[in-house]
Amino acid sequence: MTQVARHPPRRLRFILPEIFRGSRGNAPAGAEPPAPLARIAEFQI
Amino acid sequence: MRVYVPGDAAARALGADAVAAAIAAEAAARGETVEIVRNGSRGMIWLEPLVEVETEAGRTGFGPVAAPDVPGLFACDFNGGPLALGPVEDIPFFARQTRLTFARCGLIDPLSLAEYEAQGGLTGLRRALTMSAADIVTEITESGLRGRGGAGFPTGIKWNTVRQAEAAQKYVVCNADEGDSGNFADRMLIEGDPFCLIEGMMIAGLATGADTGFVYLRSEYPDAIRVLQRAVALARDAGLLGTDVLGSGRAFEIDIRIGAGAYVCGEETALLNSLEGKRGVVRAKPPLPALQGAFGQPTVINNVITLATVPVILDRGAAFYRDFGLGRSRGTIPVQVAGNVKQGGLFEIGFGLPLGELVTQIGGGTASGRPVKAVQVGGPLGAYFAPDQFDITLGYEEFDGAGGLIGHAGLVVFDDSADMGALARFAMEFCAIESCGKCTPCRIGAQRGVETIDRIRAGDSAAIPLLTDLCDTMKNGSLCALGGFTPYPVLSALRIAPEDFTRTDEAAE
Repeated sequence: MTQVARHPPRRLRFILPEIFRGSRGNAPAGAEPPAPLARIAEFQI
Repeated sequence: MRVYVPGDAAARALGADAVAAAIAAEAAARGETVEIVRNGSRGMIWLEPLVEVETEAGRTGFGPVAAPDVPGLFACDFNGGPLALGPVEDIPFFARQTRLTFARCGLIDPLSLAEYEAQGGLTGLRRALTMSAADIVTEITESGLRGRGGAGFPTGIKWNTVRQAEAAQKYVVCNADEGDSGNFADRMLIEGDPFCLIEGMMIAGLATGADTGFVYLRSEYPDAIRVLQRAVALARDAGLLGTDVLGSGRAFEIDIRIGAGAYVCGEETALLNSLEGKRGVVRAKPPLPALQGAFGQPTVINNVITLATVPVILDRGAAFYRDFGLGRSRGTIPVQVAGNVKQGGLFEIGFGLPLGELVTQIGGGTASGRPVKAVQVGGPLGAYFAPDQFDITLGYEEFDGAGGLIGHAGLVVFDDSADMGALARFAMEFCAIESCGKCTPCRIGAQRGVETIDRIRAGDSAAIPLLTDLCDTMKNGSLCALGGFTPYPVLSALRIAPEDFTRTDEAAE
């Protein structure tokens, strides 16, 4: 397998569990989620 | 008469065994004495089986030879005829190369230690035995050698970390789990010049204080396993391996461990788990394998080509090796040209050659005669490059800057009939199948990626931003290169041919 020069995950643009649950995490009720999160929330597992 | 018929797996797949048998039978029928040597491959796969004959003018080649051609070769006394290629080292594909790591591959009987020594083998090891560990590391550092597995990490720095680590036991591990599509340099080297790898591992042991080496070799390479096991046994019998290496009082032993077919076990930390008999899942770093690697001990883990390049550096000196290359990419790299090309094979050259030259001149363009659409560089995790990017030169930084990776330097060429949408889907599907499951972005993201590409190919173009977001998450959130680099082929395919993502035929299946 190709090896690559990379560091351990250091920049998480999203909070991973939220992405994959399609959840809005700790966002206050009624608040607009960040745009990427809104799109990611389309995932249905 | 001495006749060479490659025993390399690629040549065997193309009928080399039948050719060797036909030569033996024809010689017996004619009452002639012929010595058949099963050498490694010269790397010109489109000419395999490439039969060579020793003449006063050097080694003359014939190819590609099939068993029915053999009586004709005898009839003309291996001189001329339609399959004659002339002196093998004058064939343009071969003559243009700078063969340092592969200097002996295809030239010698891979299992003859005497021939290995006659062609410069063991000179590097003998020199290393007279040097201190620190001096060996300095030589490697000054040569500019970087990891040929793809990461390009400076080998000398890695070795120095292991050398300075305090431990009663250290290890050298050779990563021979060559699972990338279009890559075959490790296999060719092991099958064609196994003592070179053994010598490189021994020098690594001397440099770091390790007395035990492991070769993690994939089960899909039965010929390489057989050759390396035999070579290790021969090295042991000759006093090369064991408790008293060449009478120096130093010890080094090699153990071969066979993989079980998981792509991710080529990732160095998953490899170490598998080597230890555990499930092949990726380990978080730190700790670095150099400090806590195999069995928790300081471990040098290098690719086959990295280790096989060490002997020539110790033999001819750091300055000699450093003189080849470009920028921070020093020395030579064995490029493997595969896919839809006229002249597929292994081409060792100093860093700095433009990608387009490798595809159109060295590879001779597509085998189909159609225009090149894309070239994937670096295996299934590598980006696709279109002809408008063919001016990129071979080098770690150059490919990184162009949004790709040089990886293990395997090129897979596609003509204009390739469906880039299907290839992008395959990248995600491959990742979903091969993911070790340890981290979420890879384990789940790849599956979501397949589904999202299917949505796009079914006509839902609004899902394209979803795919790019997912790729961003996988790139930055995955624990290793499998999840982290799967987005490269996906996004580059999307860039090269967005129209291919709107086809519906594949997605419907």
